[in-house]
Amino acid sequence: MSTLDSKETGESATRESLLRRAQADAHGSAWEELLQYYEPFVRRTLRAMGVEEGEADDVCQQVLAHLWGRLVDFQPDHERARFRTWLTRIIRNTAVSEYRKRMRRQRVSFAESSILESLAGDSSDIEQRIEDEWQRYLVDLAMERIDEIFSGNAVEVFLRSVEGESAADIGQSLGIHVDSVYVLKNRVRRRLVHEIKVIREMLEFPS
Amino acid sequence: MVSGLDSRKSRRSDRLGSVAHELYRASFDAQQDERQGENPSGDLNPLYNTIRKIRSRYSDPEFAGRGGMKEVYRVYDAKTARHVALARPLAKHGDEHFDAFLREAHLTARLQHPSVIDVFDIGVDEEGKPFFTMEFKRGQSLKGIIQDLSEGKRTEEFPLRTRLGWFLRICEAVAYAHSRRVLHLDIKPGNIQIGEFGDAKLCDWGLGVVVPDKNRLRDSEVLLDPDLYGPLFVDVRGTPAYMAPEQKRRQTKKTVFMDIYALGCVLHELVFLKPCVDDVKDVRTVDPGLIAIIKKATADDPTSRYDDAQALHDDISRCLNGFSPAVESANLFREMGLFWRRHREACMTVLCASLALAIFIAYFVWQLNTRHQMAEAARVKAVESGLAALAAKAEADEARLFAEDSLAKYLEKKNEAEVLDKKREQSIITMMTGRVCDIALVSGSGYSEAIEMAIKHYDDLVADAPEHNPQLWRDKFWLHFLSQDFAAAVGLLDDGRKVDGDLAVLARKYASQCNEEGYLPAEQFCDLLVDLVKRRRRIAMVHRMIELDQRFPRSMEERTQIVSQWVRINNDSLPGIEVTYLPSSQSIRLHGPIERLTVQFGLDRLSAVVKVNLLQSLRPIRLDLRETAIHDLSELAELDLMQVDIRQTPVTDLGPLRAIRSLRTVIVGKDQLPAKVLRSLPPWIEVIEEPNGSSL
Repeated sequence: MSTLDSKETGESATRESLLRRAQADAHGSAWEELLQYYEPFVRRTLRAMGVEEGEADDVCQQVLAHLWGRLVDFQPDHERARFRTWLTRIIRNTAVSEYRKRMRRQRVSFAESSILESLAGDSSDIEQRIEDEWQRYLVDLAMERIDEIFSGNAVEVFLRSVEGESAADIGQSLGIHVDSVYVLKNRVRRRLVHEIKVIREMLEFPS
Repeated sequence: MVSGLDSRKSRRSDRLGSVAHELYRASFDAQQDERQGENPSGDLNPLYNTIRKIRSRYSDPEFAGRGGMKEVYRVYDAKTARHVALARPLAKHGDEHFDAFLREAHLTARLQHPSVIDVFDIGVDEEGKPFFTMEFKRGQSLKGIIQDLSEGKRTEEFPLRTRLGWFLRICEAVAYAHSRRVLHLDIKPGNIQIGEFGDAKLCDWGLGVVVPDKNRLRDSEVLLDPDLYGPLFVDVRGTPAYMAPEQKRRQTKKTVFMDIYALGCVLHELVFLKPCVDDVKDVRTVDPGLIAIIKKATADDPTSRYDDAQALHDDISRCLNGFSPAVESANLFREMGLFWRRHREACMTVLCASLALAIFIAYFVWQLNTRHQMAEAARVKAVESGLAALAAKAEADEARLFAEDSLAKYLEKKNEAEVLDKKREQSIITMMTGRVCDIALVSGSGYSEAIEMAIKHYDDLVADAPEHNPQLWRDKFWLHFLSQDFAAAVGLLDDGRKVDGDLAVLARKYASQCNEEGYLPAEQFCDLLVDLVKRRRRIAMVHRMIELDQRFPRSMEERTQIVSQWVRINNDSLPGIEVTYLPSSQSIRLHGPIERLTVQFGLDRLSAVVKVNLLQSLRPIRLDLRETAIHDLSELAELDLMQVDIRQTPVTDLGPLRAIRSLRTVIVGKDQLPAKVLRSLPPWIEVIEEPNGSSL
C-alpha cells in the first residue's frame, strides 16, 4: 500500500510540474509528454474554429511549433487564464496567418473566408470558446482515468445522473439498489473532481 | 490514452457538457480543501484514510480469561476491523517477567499450522507493558463442550465421530509442533478451542519448550529456553490430571511421550466424557479399538506409548474409517464387522445379490431335482412297464410256445392220424393186392378196425367178382380166423375154397367151442395159441389174435390167463411159469424161470423186425420180477411202467431203465447192486433198497 502511495504521489508531482518542466527543458521528455496532452486539444480547438479536417494537422503542427518556440520565454503572471489566453492567441494567430498564406497562394473558398472572419472576430468571444473547450477537454481526460479506476456500473450511474435520470430509474434499469446509486454517483463525482484537479495542476500553470 | 480521446470525445462531451464547467470549478474547491489540510483523497480512499487516522489500534477490551501468567481480553482491532484476543502479563508480574510472557508469543508464532492458534501482533502498549494478540476463536473451549456433553446436552450436535475429528486436528497440530521440536506439555481440553466451523485449535503454549537440536539451539531458540525465565515456570506447571507419571517428577527431561500421554487423556475424555483419572465402568458400548488406543497412549511406561502423535492420529483415522487400529489385535469377526461398517452399502448389495443368487440357485436345483425325480419316476415307470412288457412278452412267448407246442402236437397228432390213415389205407391196399397176413401190425383198436374194414372190403370184392381171384378167398378166411369167427371160416371151407391146411383143421376144431358172443373162452383160446405155435410157429399170428381178442369183453382173469399162456409159450413152456395180475394196483407178478418177455417177428416182407412185449395187452404200471431169470431189462421196453422190482434177479445193468420215461421207482435188494450202478440211474428214478422177500 505504501509503495502504491509513493508512486502515485510521484506521478502526481510529475504531472503538476509538467508544464514547468517542459518550459525548463524544451528538448526533454517533458515536452514530449506535454505534446501528448496539448496536441489533441489544439486540434480540437482548430476543428471547433471551423478548420477542415485535412488542414487541421498542418495548422496544428504550426501552432505547436510556435508554442514550443515561445514557451521558454513565457512568464506566467498570477492570472489563472493567462496561459490559456496566451495559448489561445497563438492558436488563433497561427491559424489566421496560415490561412492568409494559403489565400495568397491560391483562391479563397467561401468556407475559408468565413473561418477567417470568425477568427478575426471578437477576440473575447473566441477566448471564451477556447476556455470552454479546455475545460471540457480536461473533464474528458479525467473521465479516461475514471474509467480505469471504477468498474462496473459506477461511471454509467454517474453519467446518467448527470443527464438528469432519477436515482430510482437508474437503479431499476441497471439492477442496483437506490442507495448504491447515490453512493456510486457521489463517489465517481468526487473522484472525477479530484482527477480534474490533478490534471489541471499538471497541464496548467498554478493560478 | 490520448489517442482514444478523440473517439470518445463526442460521447463524453455530449453527456458531460452541461456539468463540465461545474466539475472544473469544483476542482478548485478540492484544491482549496487540500491546502487547508484536508485529506486530499478523503472519501476517495475511506479505508486507507481510516487506517491512517488510527492512533489507538486496540479498543473495547472485554475480559476473556486468565492463565498462569497472562490474562486475555477480547478487543476490537481497529486496523483489521475485527475482534482479536489480546494477552497481557498479569498485573502482579513486573518487568522481570515480561520476557517470559513474550516467550509464549514467540513460541506460538513459530508454529504456523491450521490447528495452532495464530499470533497476529506482538507489541508494547502506551504503559510500556508487552502484549500480543491472537486470533479470537468464536466458539468455545473443548472443556466447556465436554462439560455440556457429560450433562447430556448437545449430544446430537457433537457425536463421537465429530469429537474424534477434533482430536485428529489436535494430533496433527502436536505432530507438527513436534516436528518443529516444540513440546506443548499442557495439552488438555481447556487449551483446545473449537471454532464455529468445527475447527479445533491448540492454544496456550506458555509451558511449551523447544527440544534442543542434535547440534545446538539457534540464538532465537535460546531465548525460548524456559530456564531463562526464572521461577515463574516452577509455579505454573501443567495440569496434574493430564500429566504423564514421569512428567510429575521435576527435573525430568521433557519428551514427546508426555504430550502423547496428555493426548491419550484428552481422547479418553472425548470418548467417555469423563476425566482420564475416573474409572469407566461400562466400556461395552465403546469401540474396542478406541479403548486399545487410549490404553496404549496412556501407558505408564513412556516407551510403551505411541512413538509419535502421527501414529496416534493414524490409528484414530483407521478407527474412524472403520478399520481396526494397529494397536488392536482384532480377530476375524471384528475385522468382518468393521468391514461391514466400512462398506455397508456395498456389503448390502453383495449380500442381497448373493442371497438372490442363492435363492435362484436353490430354486434352480429344486427345479432340477423335481425334474430329475419326475424323470426318475418316469424311468421307474418305464422300467416297470418294461418289465410288465417283458412279463407280457414272456407270457406271450409262453403262450406262443404253448400254441406252437399245441400246434406241433396237433400237427403231430394230425400227422399221426394221417400216418394212421395212410397205414390203414396201406393195409387195405395190401389186403387188396397182397396177403392179409402182411397187414401192418398196428396197435390198439386201429388194428381191429382195419380188420373189420378189410373183411367188409373183401366182402364187397368177393361179391363183385367171386370167382376171379383165389387169393381173395384165402385172405378172407384168414381174417375170419383171426377174429375167431370160425363159423364163417368153416363156411368158406365148406364152399371148397382153398386155404392153409393147418388153419383149416384148427378152424373146424374150434368152430364148435365158441361161446354165444362168438369168441373162444380163455381156456380154449390158450389151447388155440399153443396149437398155432406147435405146428408152424405162427408167432405173429398169435400176437395178432391176442390183439384182436381185445375186442371181446373178457374179464381180467381171463386176459391174465391168456397172457400167462403167451409168456409160457415164449419161455420154452418151462414149469412154474405163471403171471398174476392185481387190478387194484395194475401190477403184474411174474413167477417161474421167465427169461424173455418179448417176441420178435417181421411184420411184413418189407419192414424190419418188430419187437413186441408179451405183457402189453395187460397195460401194467408195476412189475414184480422177483425170482425170475430176467437178466436183460431191455425186455421191459414198450411197457409204460412206473415201478419195477428186480430183487433176486440176475440183473446187473440198470441202463435200459432209462428208456422207460414213466419209471419212477426201482426196488432192489440190499447189496444186490454196487452203488456205482445205482448212481447211474437218472435223478427221477428213486432206488429203494428192501430186504428180499417183501412183496409189493
